[in-house]
Amino acid sequence: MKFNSVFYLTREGLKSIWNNWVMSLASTIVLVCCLFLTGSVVLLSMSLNKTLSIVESKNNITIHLNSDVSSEEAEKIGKRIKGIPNISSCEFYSKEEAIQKYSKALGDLMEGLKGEENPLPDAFRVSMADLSKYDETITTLSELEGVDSIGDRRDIARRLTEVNHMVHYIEVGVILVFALVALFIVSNTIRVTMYSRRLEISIMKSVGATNLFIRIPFIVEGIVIGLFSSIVAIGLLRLLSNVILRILQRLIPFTNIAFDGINGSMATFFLLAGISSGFIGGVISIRKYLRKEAGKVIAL
Amino acid sequence: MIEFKKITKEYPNGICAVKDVDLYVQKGEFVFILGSSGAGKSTLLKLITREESPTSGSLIVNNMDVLSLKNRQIPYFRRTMGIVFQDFRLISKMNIFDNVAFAMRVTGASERAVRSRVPYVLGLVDLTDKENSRPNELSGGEQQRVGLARALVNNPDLLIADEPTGNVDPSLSFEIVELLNKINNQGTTVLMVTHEHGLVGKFNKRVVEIENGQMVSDSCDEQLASGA
Repeated sequence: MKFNSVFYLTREGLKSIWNNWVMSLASTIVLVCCLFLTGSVVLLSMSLNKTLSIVESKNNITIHLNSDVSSEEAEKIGKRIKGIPNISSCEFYSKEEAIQKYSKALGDLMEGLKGEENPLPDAFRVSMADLSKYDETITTLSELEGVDSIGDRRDIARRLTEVNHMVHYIEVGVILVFALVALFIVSNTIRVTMYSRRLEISIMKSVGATNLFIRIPFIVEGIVIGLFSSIVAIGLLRLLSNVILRILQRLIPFTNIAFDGINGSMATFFLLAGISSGFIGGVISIRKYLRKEAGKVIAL
Repeated sequence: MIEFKKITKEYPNGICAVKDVDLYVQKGEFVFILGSSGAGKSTLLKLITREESPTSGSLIVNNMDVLSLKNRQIPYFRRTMGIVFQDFRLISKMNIFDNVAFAMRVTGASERAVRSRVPYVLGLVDLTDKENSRPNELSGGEQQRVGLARALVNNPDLLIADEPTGNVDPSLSFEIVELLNKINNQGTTVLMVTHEHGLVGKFNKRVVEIENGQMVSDSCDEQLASGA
């Protein structure tokens, strides 16, 4: 294929998008919806995964002490905790530190609660060497004198894992369904374009244009629609993830929920998905026409 | 140039459009194929352009065995011929220049070749001043001349005209055939299908008559017969 042909054919494809702008717009909208919904599910699943790994990686447990435990007593408790076999590290986390962290997040709200008025308990942050002995260690810890409660993240992790599995299935289903819808939409648009250009196609055939030559403008059309749709969908997803992130930050100020926006590889995947659905849609829809002869194309 | 040998075409619905046709057209000839509608003229043309394949027989066009052509060879085969349609088949949203240039562009011609060839061909059919008009701004006769220019633009060895005067004002029909004659005089083989006996009579050319898919007469044979 010569260079000037490529240029000519690309221009023809672009012109056809413009000439059939209603169909082009309609399919762009549907395609954007498909990509957007797919992207939302993927984003959800991704952030769940991340949250899960954060929760799991933090195997450190917070041991809250009774509020009437004095600092000397706390020190003794600390030594006793360190004496438990499975404990790999133990850090003292004073109520002053705790209140400072809260007031950083919540601001003035905590102002009156500093010093003597501090309602938070002292605590120890403990991590284990062997997670398989988790339950026994927790029991030993809770039996210590002066220990009020143990912040346990295990059940959160378990529940998140369940949700994550479910979301994963939904994700695969959604992607499959929307891929089919996207293909259908693009090939339908191109079929309409072909129908409106069947005279041109029949003339092309009768003057000896190769099938490749006839095909290229339509494939260009599909690719451009796909590309454009994926760009719009990426923009929308970014917008959505920013809004969600902001809402989450406002609702739960210090949270383990990791919500990522669209990253580079996902954007690339989107662009590829858009382009390939355009390409495949283009190829599928012209096959029917290319098999027919000039006279029959025109009679359609 | 064209060699039909015992060509028969039967459509799947059982209709036999062409029966046992033997026809030989030499390079540079001008042949009228005359017959009423439904006689099998169109099928004959479709066999030549390889839009249809014959059920039996052998067919050679432009030194190529049409029956053994592979699908990917067909486009290149068609570039050796120009086709003029009864209904013009011009693209209404393109101007005259682009309509003619289209046939060149789809064969991958360079834009420079298009710029030099198209005005020349439009000059041949006397439409130089209509270059920028749209097809619907032209008369039927002018539109058919555009169709003719398009058929000629790739410089074919064989020109096939399928009822080229069918949609043209009768007074202008003569002019179209005259133009075909002029093209023929420059060496292009011309095959024109028509049902207009009167028009054919005005030109002293070979006439092949078809009825019910069979050749009933060939003026060429008659000349030979009367000469003998």
